[in-house]
Amino acid sequence: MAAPLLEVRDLVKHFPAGRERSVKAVNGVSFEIARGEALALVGESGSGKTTVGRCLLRLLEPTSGVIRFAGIEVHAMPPAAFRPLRRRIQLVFQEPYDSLNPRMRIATLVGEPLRQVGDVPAARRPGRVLEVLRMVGFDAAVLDKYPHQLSGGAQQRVGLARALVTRPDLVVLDEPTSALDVSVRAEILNLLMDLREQLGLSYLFISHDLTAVRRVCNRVAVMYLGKVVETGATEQIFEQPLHPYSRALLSSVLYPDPTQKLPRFMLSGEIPSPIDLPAGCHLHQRCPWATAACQQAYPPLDTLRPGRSVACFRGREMAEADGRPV
Amino acid sequence: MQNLHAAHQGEGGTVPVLNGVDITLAAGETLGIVGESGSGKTILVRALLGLLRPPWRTDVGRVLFDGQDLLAKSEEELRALRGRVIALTTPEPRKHLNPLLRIGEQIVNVVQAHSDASRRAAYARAEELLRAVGIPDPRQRLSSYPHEMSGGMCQRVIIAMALAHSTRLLLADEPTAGLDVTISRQILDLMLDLVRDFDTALILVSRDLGVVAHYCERVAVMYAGQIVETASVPSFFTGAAHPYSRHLIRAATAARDASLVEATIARESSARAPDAGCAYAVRCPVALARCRSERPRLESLTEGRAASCFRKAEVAAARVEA
Amino acid sequence: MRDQALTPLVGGLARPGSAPRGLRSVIAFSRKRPSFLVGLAIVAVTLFLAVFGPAIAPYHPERALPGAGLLPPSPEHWMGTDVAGMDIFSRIISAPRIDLTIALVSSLLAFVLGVVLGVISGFFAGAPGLGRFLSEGIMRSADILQAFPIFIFALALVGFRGPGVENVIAALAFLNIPYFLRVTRGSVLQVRERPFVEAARCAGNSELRVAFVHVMPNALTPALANISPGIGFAILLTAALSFVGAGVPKPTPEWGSMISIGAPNMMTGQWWTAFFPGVALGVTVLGYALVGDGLRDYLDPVKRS
Repeated sequence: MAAPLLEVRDLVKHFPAGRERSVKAVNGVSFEIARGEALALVGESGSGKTTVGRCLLRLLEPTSGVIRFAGIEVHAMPPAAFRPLRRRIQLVFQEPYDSLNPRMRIATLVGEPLRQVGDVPAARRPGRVLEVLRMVGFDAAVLDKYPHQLSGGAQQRVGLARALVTRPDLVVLDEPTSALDVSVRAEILNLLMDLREQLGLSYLFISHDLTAVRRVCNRVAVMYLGKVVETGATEQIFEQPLHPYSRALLSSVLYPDPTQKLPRFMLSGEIPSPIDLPAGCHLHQRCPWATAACQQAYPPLDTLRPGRSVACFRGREMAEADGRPV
Repeated sequence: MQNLHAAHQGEGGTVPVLNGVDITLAAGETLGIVGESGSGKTILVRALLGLLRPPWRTDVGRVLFDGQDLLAKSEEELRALRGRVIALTTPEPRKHLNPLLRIGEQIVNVVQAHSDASRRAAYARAEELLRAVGIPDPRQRLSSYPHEMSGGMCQRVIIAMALAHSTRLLLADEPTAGLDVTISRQILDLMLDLVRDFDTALILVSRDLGVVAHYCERVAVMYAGQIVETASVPSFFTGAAHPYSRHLIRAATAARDASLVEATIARESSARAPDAGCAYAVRCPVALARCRSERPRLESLTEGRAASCFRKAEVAAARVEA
Repeated sequence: MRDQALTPLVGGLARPGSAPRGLRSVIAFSRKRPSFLVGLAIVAVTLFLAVFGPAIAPYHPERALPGAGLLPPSPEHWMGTDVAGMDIFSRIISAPRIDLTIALVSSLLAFVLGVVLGVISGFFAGAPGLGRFLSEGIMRSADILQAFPIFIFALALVGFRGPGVENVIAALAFLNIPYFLRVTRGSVLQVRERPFVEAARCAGNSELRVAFVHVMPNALTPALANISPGIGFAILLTAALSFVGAGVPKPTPEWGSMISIGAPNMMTGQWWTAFFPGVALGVTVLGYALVGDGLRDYLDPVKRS
């Protein structure tokens, strides 16, 4: 079995928030991405999924934990040493317009990673830029344009082109379609799927849009308040979510099909603040299955099968009660 | 709403945003208005409340509420209606609360604006409203400030304010924008329960077809400042009659071929109504020559269904690849 | 999410932050702002005089005509003569050369230094290590500089190094740096939070490149809008310094020193000696301020829709 492309072990990121207090954004997250795989990191606000993405790109420094990329330990590398690795791991942002420097032309924007950390000789760079722009559906006319001259979907495609120009191994996508209209969303998702096949890319797809996740990713990790609460193949998670939070999340998805009954698995109350995390299981105050045990200790991530795990004391029990043992 | 037009008169010229909107809503009915950015749906909502001031112009068309034209009313008369008979929720609840006033104070303002309740009575009513919208510890919350509350809670407060009086029509403009998925569900369920309890009509403006599918009885699709289709929700999702509606449904279900449906020319065109012909013709995969010169009107297809497309019958029956 | 509010989507997407480009939009803008046009006219006149003033002056601006002292305005001397017999009109139109040279050079210096320091101080604010030290150091120095009453400071500086054009330029540049520094810093603090800055890091840019190639060009607007009023202010300060004899040396025509020479005469009824230079000064500074206002509004992204 080949070594995974990306390994994350017990990643922690806390932000100081005044005296003695901190925002505990990420609290011990572990996962792996194999070559050619698309893993989704799913969760709502406060889950820490965006912070995880930023730590992988070293835009934020992890508080502790191990990040291994292609076998190299990167979590504590000095910035200068990490720089050449930027060729192999790139980021697509949520905001189509704001992720592009408004004063630069598209050609310059997309070519920048090549100039800074690419391994293509100067003479061949314009060719590569045009090639990657074509891959995302543009023709040469776009090279001289400025970001504000393009529509939201087009801007996001430029962001994608920029992320791909150095032929990275791993692309981290941070809510790539959340700011786009419905019809443009579909176009971008299709593009992502096609490109992954064509270029053999791996994705870390960070999103709260479960429909998008279902289309693009083959594995899912659900996050809540800085921890991974469940992992599994996409269809496994969607067909049979085991963790109460996953259940609630999936039952909140509104499919555009009025004949589908809306399941009513609801959590009470609001998401607690990451500054004051509840003791024990982070979900126990809102969870309809909570018992005394849930307040005492955080449930460990129980591996049911390779690639399938859940962090809930009662996950397995409830699945059996449904008549669908794991 | 009959043939409602609205245009913005700015330094760059006059920009038409609503180009003849036709909508009917019965008492107690829930209608979803679906459209993407640029369709004009936010302006529509504002027009309904007479909130469009110059440089906006609404000289063509009528908005009849209970038979009376809102556009012809004076500001005084509108003020008597707003908040009492017609109420609005917004996509950014925290921004629409006064950051310097406590929640209790703000609800009391709304209560007292349309009744002679004493302060004490108004405060009691405010607490009752907070409880009705599911806010825990309502009495404590009366003394909170907006910045101390989450987005979901702010939205609940806005809903409480909107339903403070016996509202006949609630306009919910993207009520779940920016809210987490699980919270959105709670808010929508709440809203639906409340409008059912009070028999209030609801217009839910959204970009999300899923919301409309589960929370509305009827749907109206907006494109380039016009309503291009109206239908009951079940019939809409089984067989939409306008090519744009079909495109939206396909895209929303993230169907594989959704993006192939549209002609690529229009990638960067804005949804602006052209001078002649159907606004959607440029992107429409089944457009005829006629579509570019003649503008189709919103016409009835069957009982309760209308679409502005010359080929609506074929599209609805899926007899053309649309 | 985007706050659509009530801005219509014109030909694409409404976007805060993108200014329309091109001369055409400047002209369209000026047409609606008569004050801007007036300001531009005044600035144009001063620039013209700076270049051609001494050449078209009817009399040599520094030649005293004996026996012609304190003559009132007349067809030979449109604005009269001063106590030394020098034609006031000629001196007035020759003064912009020195005033504008001082003002432009000092403003440019202040702009460049202020912007660079503002970028450093804003970009590295709150960063761990050397960056924060630098950023805080710059800000506290600016605080100290600004705490001095401007005029006293200028006097002191010139007092140290003696009067003379270079010293006036140095004093003015020094004094104006904090203004450019602060507005740039404020702008940088906002711009650095935008996603495209993170994108620049992902592309492999060093922090310095991110600061100067990506952030700075997008943070210049407030500083640019402040140049014109800065120039006006510099002219005023030069005049003030010259008025007390600490600025431009005496025979060189300069409005402030002209007012200084002419002030005593106002008591004895020869009003023209100080009046005309005073008006020239006032109108000029007003002109630059109007241009500054207009430019600021033109560059204001909020009004764009």
